[in-house]
Amino acid sequence: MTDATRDRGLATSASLLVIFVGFVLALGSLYSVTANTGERVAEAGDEQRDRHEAVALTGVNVTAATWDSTNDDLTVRITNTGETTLSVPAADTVVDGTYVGIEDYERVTVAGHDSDLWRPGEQLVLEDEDTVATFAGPPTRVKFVTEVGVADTRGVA
Amino acid sequence: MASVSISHLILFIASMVVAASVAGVFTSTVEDLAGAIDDQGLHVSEDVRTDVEIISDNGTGACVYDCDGAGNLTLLVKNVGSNRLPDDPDQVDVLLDGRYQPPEDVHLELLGGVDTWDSTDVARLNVTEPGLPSGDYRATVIVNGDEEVFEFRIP
Repeated sequence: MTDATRDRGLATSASLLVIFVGFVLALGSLYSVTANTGERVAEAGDEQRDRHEAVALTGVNVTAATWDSTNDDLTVRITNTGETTLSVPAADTVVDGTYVGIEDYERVTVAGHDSDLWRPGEQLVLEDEDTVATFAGPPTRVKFVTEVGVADTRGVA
Repeated sequence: MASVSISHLILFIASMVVAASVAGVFTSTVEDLAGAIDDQGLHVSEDVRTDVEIISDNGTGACVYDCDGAGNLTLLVKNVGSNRLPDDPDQVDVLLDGRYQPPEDVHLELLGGVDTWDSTDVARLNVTEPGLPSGDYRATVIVNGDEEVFEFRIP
């Protein structure tokens, strides 16, 4: 083997080594990014499936909505007819198209207790004294919306 | 003899420079690609986590349009997803019967005394559209790619 041949071989090997190292580094960063992204998207997909399951298992029924014209009080009774425990503060109501948050109701009781947890089969009672009273006329419709978006509507008697 | 060694050295250095530039171009290209995949993944996961519901009541007796006499369409939008949503009208698209409503005509207000539009929070969208005649309408709200449709009638 001549000196020239050996030098050419060394140059080729060293160049290939440099390219190989660059290749490995690049593929390493590509792998870690792809793995992280895949994990993040899979996690979001899991949460979405959980939400869909919660929607399928949730059910509410507004059993009564009454307006006391003497005291201008609105009382709404809702039963949890689903299979999941719901959060009372995360629910909302819409009275005649106007938003009335749960915090606007003076008395909020779950099966007679002051609780934020609303278990299946229990009745939630909302009583308002001064928010709906400011509306132009007596209320006609109440829509109750749970934390997952499942809703029920009833005319006010 | 010395001139041969020098020419070999020059060739060696040249081959190293070429190899290093090939490797450099390759790694920077792959890094750009990785950055794009990261951005896209973030975007997709945000879209998947986003879920909104229009909770406005479209039944008889419930007011949706011109409730305050200012010619506003009022839409109540609840965040039922698992991530925080932008409370900026620039990032919430509203269509009324397929017509895009510019952000300056859309007023977004968070309800329930909250400062950020987190999960289970409700926002009120007031869309300025005075003088809508009686008839059936279809409003569409799009947040992070999640599209919700609300149909209502102006009596």
